[in-house]
Amino acid sequence: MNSKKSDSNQEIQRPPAEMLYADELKMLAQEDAKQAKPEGWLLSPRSVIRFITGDKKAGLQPKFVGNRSFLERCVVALATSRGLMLIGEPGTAKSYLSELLSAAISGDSTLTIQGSGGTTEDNIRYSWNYALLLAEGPSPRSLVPAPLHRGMQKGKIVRFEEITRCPLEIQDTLLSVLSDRVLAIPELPDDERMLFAKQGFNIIATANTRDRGVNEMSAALKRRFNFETVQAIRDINEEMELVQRETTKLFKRASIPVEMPADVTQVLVTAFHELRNAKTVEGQALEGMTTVMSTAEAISTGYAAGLHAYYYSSGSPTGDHLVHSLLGTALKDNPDDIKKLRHYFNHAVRGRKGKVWQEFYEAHKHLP
Amino acid sequence: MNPRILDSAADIVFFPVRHHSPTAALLLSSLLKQVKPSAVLIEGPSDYNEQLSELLLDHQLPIAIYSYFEDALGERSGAFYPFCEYSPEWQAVTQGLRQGAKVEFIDLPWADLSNYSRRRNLYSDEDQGSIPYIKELCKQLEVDDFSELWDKIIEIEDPPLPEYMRRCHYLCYHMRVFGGNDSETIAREECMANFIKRAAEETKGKVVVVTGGMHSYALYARLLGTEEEKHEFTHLKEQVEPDRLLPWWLNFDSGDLSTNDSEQHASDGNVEDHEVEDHEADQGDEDHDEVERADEKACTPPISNPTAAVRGLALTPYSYERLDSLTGYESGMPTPGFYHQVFHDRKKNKADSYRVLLMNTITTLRKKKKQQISSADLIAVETSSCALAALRGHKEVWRTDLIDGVISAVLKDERNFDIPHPFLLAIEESLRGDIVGRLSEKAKVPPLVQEVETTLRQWNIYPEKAERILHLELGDELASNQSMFLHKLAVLQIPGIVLKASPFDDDFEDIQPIETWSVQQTTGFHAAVIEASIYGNTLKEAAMAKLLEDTQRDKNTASAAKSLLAACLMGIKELATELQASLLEQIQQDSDLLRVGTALNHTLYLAKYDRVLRSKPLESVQELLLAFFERCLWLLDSQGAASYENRPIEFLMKSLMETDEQLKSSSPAARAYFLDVLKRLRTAANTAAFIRGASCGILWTRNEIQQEALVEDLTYFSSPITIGEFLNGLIALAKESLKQRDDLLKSLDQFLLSFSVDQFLEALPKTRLAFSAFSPRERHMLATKILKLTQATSSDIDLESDLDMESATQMLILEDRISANLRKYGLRGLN
Repeated sequence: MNSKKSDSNQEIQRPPAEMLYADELKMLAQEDAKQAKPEGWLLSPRSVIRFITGDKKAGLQPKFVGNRSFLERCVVALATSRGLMLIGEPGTAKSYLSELLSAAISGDSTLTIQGSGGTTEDNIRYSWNYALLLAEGPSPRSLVPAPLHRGMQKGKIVRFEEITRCPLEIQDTLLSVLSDRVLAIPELPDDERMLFAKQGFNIIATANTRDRGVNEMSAALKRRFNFETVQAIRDINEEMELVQRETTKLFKRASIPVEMPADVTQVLVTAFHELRNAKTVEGQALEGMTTVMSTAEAISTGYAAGLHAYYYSSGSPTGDHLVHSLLGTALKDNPDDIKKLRHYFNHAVRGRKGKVWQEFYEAHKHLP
Repeated sequence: MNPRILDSAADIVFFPVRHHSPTAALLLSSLLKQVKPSAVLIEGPSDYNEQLSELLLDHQLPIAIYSYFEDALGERSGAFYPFCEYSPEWQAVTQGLRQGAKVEFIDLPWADLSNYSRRRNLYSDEDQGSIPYIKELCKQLEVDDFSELWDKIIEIEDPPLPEYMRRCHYLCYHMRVFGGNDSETIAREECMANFIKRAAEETKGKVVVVTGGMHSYALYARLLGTEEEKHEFTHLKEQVEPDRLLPWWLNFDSGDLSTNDSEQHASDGNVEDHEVEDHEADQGDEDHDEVERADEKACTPPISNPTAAVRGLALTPYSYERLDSLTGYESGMPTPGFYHQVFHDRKKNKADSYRVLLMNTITTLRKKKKQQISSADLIAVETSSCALAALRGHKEVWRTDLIDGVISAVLKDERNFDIPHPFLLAIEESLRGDIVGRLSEKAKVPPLVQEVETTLRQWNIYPEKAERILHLELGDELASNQSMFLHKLAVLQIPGIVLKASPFDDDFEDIQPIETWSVQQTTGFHAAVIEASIYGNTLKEAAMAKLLEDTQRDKNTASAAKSLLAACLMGIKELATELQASLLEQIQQDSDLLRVGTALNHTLYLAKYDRVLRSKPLESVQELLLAFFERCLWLLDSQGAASYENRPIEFLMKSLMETDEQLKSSSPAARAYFLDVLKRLRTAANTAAFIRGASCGILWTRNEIQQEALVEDLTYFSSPITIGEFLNGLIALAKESLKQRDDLLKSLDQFLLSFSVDQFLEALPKTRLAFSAFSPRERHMLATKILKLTQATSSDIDLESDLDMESATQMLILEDRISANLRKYGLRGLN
């Protein structure tokens, strides 16, 4: 059965966390069998954090890099009567963290609402199977539950991605659900008109601070959420470890026998770290880029460099491949960024010792 | 680790502490009551022992022992030993003395210690986080740093004495083993061991030794340990990985606790108690004999620092703000206000200290920041804090839980780590506490403090809570003396003494030269005066020493000239003369134009002041002024082409002009040189446009060049790129003349009109900047004048228009495009 599961895992382009880490979750649930946990949770709050931060001895993979008190606050927020709002720059793994949290707490990270300008109440609460509705009238059978409905019914965590992209009135759909924990379905007969949330239900929303921020969100809704800011990884070594681990995973998944050499990862992460913080590791000031130089972007740059090297050159990614892939990431729409990047190469990269740094510098000729 | 050290009934009890730990303080206090030792030995400056009884006076804590010295080379340094109510050291000293025990500090004096260490707070935590053992332990206990680790295993748990001894000794033993033995620690322990040895010999009863936990086992091994123990202590590091030594009393979720190194056997609770008893029965009073057998080396007297020429020790008030590691420099445990509350609550067997602090926070927010917090938010803060405490396994809500509870429940926006949220600031403030220490009136203070206090009272200018403004007429003898006195305090950077205004701050010279001072009591006032004793025993001596130190630190003419000014204002003749002589030497070696310019400016200011100073500190300021003036001109002459920023050059040129006015009667040659240089600058091809404009301006004001010459220069710089710069320099120095002479305005107007729209736009920003030297009223006047000159009527141009610059520019560009199109299609014969 195991092999069957792993086969099916292989076919899925990106299996959700609960599928990918099924064994870890099972082990933790067993350990927690006698532990006190909040109603409706599969794991105890401590185990949720262990699942996320990892534990080498217990065979738990590290999954998210962040300081412990931050994670503790997130988990505690979900156990209280407020929702959890994760905000931060794009690419700081907000959605990934929300996926991990829901996988650990509810064993299901798929109850996801994707916020956008076009999100309607139907996408959030419920809609109808119109054929059945016409034939039978409103009934639980003709109702098509959306993630919020399902989460409340089953007592699971519901994820609301990019909530601030939704129009304000759509965001406010959540008000009564968060405070009274009840969803009214006026179309149904009296005894089924109110859906009371089962224990274990809560909402994790994410919002990025680049586009619209949370300023436009109503104060009423803000009150019902605990806000946590997800930070870019501060420790460059931790970031290197993470990028190395994730790119390896991606190569494996794409069945490419490529490994990121450690020195290449080092150059990649250092460059991203420096461009993001507008400061070189030696402490010299740089011009800040307008594009987001997140860890997620670093991982995809590394992955792209690997693919490039595998399909079009010798096989192992070099500084040259990095620059090629970096351009697509770093240069989006602001023409000033080209100048800033050129300045970075000329002032920060030029003097650096080491083969990869030199390749990296040489390849700056590809800059437009 | 030999479990004998855990015995709190032994003849010598080694009581380990973390400085400023309330749990340690409470346990130590009950231990002293129970054991009634005949000697209490405490880690602290042993040269303070003679004054120890001073600590029993009615001080309001926190206070600190301030130890300072000056070595033979004149280098000074000072350090603090701060005490608050919940310091174990404080409990040991006061309770020991009250119980009639012999109480002694046993550490090296600071003057000797400073050979090794530059720490300023001797009761601060050193960097524990880098010790591999602590790193591993933090990871296992799921905490972020050493403070949280200590809280988790000691403060929150509040263990009974035997358990405290076990945990603290065990933790500190390994910290010491993996933290290393530096020469400072070894020298200090040698000194401490000597004191303990002597006390054990001299007294009959029990001895309690209160030191930082890191020293406890080392002292034990040195005095009572076998060779084997000493060896184990120093070599454990090489033999065992830190993660093999994690304490048995931690309830890990994972990890094999029954590791089989000898540590674990010894540390099994039952075995250990048994062993201790056995040991006691066998050994009885043999401890004293062992002390005598202790290492011969330990018997040498404490080394003393032969270079320390002047030493002093004094009590000084301290504050929780200085003690808090979040705000203070090299401070002890974080959030002293929180531990203060815990200490007092636990004394009364009360729990939940956080409630008081949370209420304080809300009061602070309401009163000081005028912010309300809703009951719902308050409930959310408390719920989150309690939930976090539960998740972290804390018995009660602790400081970190409270802070995280606030972050979690109240902060509703992106968290900006550089600009903290007001609620977060308020809670940090409340956790820090605002208690400020006060010394007993009977406490002996250094002579400097007495002098300052007496003088302030004598003149009735003692700082009070409410700010007092003093207007001192320098012509008056008393006021002049007061001014010199206050200037000395200002040099010593005593807080609350501020010079608000000097008679020569603006360009107008007052008929009655008056200095305005603000005098106000601030929290740091007393402490700062006591700490200033480091510079000398009298105010004059201290101020002189401080000023000389400052001067020597940044050796350049600008700061030396500033010091000379300060010396004159303080009325210290000998210092002023000395500084002047060295300054005259320095001038010729300094080739930084702007720096010499700043020095000139200070000297110019001094020259003005000199006329009203009753003390007449300098023979002649003119000589110095002339020297600076000539040096400046020389540098300007040779470096006029270099690129400088405009503002400093403007100041320099103005200073030169003013100095020229001052010197015109005394040295006509200098004036001639000045004009020569300006003329050269004006005609040299490579002079920067700004400097050239400025030179022109001065020459024109002085009637050295005529209107035609000026128009010539304007023509030379009439390209759109340079005209702005030139005008900038010209207007900065010849503003008044320009206002009065219409012809120049007219030629300027013509140049601007001759520009095409593109050229005009290029010249616009700098030209605008140049004219910003005029006030709006003056600009209006000039504009009216130009209208008149060009014979346009005010209806052609609306001077009152409130059109902003941006729109005007856009309009101009649009107009230009329309004209271009009209021209292109031949619609109108525009030129």
